[in-house]
Amino acid sequence: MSQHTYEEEEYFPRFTFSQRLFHMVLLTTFSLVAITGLPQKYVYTKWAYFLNQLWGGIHTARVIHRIAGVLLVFDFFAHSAYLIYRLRAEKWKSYYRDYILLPNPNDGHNLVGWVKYLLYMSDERPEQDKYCWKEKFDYWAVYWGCVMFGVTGPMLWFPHLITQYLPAYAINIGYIIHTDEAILAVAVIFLWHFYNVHMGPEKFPMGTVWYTGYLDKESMVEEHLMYYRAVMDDRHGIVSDEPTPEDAVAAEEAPVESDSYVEDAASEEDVYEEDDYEEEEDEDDDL
Amino acid sequence: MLYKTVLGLMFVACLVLARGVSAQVVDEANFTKDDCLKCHGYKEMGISRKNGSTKYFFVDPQLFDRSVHGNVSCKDCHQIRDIPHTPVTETTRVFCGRECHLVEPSQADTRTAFSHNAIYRTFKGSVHKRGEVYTGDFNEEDSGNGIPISPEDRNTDAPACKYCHINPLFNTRNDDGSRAMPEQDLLARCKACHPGPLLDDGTPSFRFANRFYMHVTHRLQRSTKRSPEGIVNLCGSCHADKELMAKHNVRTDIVDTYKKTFHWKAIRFGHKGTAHCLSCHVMPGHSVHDILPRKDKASSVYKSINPRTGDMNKDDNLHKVCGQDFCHPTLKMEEKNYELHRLNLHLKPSLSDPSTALEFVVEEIFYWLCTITVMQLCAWMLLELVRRFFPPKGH
Repeated sequence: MSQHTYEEEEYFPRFTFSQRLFHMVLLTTFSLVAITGLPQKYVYTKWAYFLNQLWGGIHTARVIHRIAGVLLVFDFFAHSAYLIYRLRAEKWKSYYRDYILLPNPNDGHNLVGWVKYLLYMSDERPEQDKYCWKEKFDYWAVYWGCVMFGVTGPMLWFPHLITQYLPAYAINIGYIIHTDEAILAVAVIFLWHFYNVHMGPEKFPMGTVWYTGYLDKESMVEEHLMYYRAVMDDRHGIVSDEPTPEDAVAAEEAPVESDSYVEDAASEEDVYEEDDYEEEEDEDDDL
Repeated sequence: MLYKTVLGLMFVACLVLARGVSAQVVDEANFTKDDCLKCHGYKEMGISRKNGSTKYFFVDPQLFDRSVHGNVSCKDCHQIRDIPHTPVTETTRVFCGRECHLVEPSQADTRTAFSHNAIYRTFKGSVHKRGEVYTGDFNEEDSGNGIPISPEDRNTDAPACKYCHINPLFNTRNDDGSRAMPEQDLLARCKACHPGPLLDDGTPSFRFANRFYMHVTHRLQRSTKRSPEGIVNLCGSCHADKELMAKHNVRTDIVDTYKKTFHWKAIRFGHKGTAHCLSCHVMPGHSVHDILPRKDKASSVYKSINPRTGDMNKDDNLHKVCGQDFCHPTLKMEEKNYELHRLNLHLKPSLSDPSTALEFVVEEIFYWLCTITVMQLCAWMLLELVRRFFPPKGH
């Protein structure tokens, strides 16, 4: 594992404009559906009555809720289409790292490492990749929530149509799923997600990556050290002695070679030495 | 206290003597409202009961004149024949089914006296039928089928007329709270032909036009009736009493299950046009006094489904309730969406009930999913904060 640190890079691009746009639409529509929908569930509370009157009454709140819900589902499908488009453009190569936040065994190791760290069973913080297990959890939780809302929302909106094909108790089940999932989503987003991205001691009062698209070096080192090192190694043309995930995929597809592969990898062209690196650094200083 | 009752009667006697009215039987033909107001017009008129409560007998003539019974004379309801009169007893109390001096307008040719007796008979045949005795002109105490009811069997828990009805004031406000057209402008054409009785100064009172206008608008505007929330609270005053309902073998969770529906939520948020108790439990076009048990085939909530095929039978009434013009008029019962009517608004999911077992399971799954997830995430955040403020040695 590379042990070098770099001083010249302060901010690292993390989210593209389209990704930030998707997130912006998501947070707006989710906030709207939550603030118009929760008063309908907790109708017996004073805050619910106040919020409902703020929207102009129950009927106006329902209209806003449905419009925001439609936009939320549209954002979901647009983002899914974007994923597929990007994956096809990259020919499905780098899905481990860049475009699909699929859980992998490394996440499991990290999670176990974090549990040990938090319970004082270990003093070493696990090194995380570009998307750590927290972010993958947040991502797939939202995915799950959008599916739940997208299916049950129309059921509650058009009960007359739904009951032509489904039994009537499906409406009741849809109501239970829709409202309970809303509680879960609001709790996860406004407690867990907000803590991780805004309210944590290192981020307070607000993280900025969601609208700038850039992550500062401190956060990169703190939260994505493995990815940070890989990025810097890549930028400085340094080949790490550890195979990248892309290499792992290529290795699986390539035919089995002789044991001389190990000896070939130990050639001078594939291994860098510290002295070489220091010389390069001096050259940059001259510039 | 007894002495307070005696003092009250002595006070009344003094008033009578002061007014110069002799204590004798008054000729019914000369018996007027002013005679009653000679005593009942005093604001302090009342008695204190043994249980410590106070009942006032003061009648504000201006308020009463503005009420729906403003045209009715005192003696039409109260069986008073002499002044001062003896205390009201069980046999002389007001009976709402009594005939009054007013002529039923739809039967003016036969000079039929107006009465609420038809409503009373309808009410006696309803699910709320009451076995209390109303004596006087109406001395019938039966089950509605001519079979006498013994005192022990009388349902004294059932509501009487005054439990639901008051003597409301006329209110001509529109449903949105705004006042209707100024009465002077609205009634100008009516007053041109219907001057009504003359006042003392010889000018027309226009009383008929005013009262007819208020009589009609009072019943047309929803805002002048009891609000939907008021209706739910009124019905719930008994039906939410679990002990009372259990005593009469009636479901105890009716109000709780209704308040879980969107109908109640809309009412709670102030919407006026949403379904309340009477919207479903009164057959469209029928009197609200004609609420029947749900198993009665004439009941508005009588549900008849073929258990084998699940199709609606011809004698089903529930679809008529939901598909009313101002509720869900797009419902077409000949289509399969009658399935929607399988939604029993008053069902609580239970694992032992096959029709709601799946709902119960889904509810439990999401309940525990939410609870466990949120608790775990909160615990993780707490541990992170602790670890951050107590980092490993050397960091």
